[in-house]
Amino acid sequence: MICQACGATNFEGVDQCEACGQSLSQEMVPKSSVEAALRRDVIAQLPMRTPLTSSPDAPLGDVLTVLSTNAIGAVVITDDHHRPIGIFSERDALLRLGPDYRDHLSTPISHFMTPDPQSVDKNTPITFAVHQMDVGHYRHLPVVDDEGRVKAVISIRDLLRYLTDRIAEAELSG
Amino acid sequence: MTGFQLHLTTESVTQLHPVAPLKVDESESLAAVLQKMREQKVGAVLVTKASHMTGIFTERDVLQLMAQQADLTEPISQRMKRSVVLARRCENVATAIKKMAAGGHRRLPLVDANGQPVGMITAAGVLHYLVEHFPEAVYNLPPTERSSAEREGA
Repeated sequence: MICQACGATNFEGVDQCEACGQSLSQEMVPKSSVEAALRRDVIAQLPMRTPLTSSPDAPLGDVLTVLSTNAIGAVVITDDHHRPIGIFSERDALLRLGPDYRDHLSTPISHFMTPDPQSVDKNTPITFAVHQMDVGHYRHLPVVDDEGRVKAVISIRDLLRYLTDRIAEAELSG
Repeated sequence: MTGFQLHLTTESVTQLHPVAPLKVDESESLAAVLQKMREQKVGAVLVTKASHMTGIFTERDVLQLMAQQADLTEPISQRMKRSVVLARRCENVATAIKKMAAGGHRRLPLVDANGQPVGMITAAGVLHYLVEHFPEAVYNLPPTERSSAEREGA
């Protein structure tokens, strides 16, 4: 049977989910389709947009231009194997750059990025990503493949749109 | 296990953890406003004139300024957004989320019946509201179930 808490498949007759330890006998019927979707859906249900990436050696000025011209909130800084080693967001621009930012436009972005970003993969439950964003105060999470290479970035805006779509579906279904 | 019930259309927008808004006057310079935003670690300010809200200025606007290598001695009124999408205290959670998603806004000034700003609704507040309502087991999965979700960085 399927554990309603974490989605793991357990053999019939087992009282407790092997994966998360929750009781399998307890009824947990979602009250609405929004809740059902949040229980079920994984990152792959969000738009997997190609991320904008940069090398750690790229000058700050170039990264600011990329963010501005593409109207996006974050660039993923990657190593030679396309694995995320940092992230630079508009939040970093505000908090890590001062009024003298023009003196640092040639400085490598690695000096200003947030290192070691939390990553998710396409099979990560959306609820887990929401929780990571909440506790870590992240607005963006790189989505990586099995080799740890960045394939997409999900943003807090993507999650709001996802929620809005689910709310609209719930309203349509009455 | 804790129940998992969202009351998006019945709970008030005030459940979304509104934060106290940082207000600045229209005449303040961009440099002064940036300094306040950094010190208080807030991503947006409400711009006012004679105590009336006249605009909003966010970290996205800060990024544009820097990309353009703008002069920070200009008053904030030259760079703020004068069109502001508001959340009203009488509205529900779902309405606020829809407004945010529709306009791509991460923040909505929360106003009272007189149109006075009393708080700021943020996307982070929405996430926190959701997490408060998740049963612990939904997100607190063991490492074997998280796979690479726990991997940090490279």
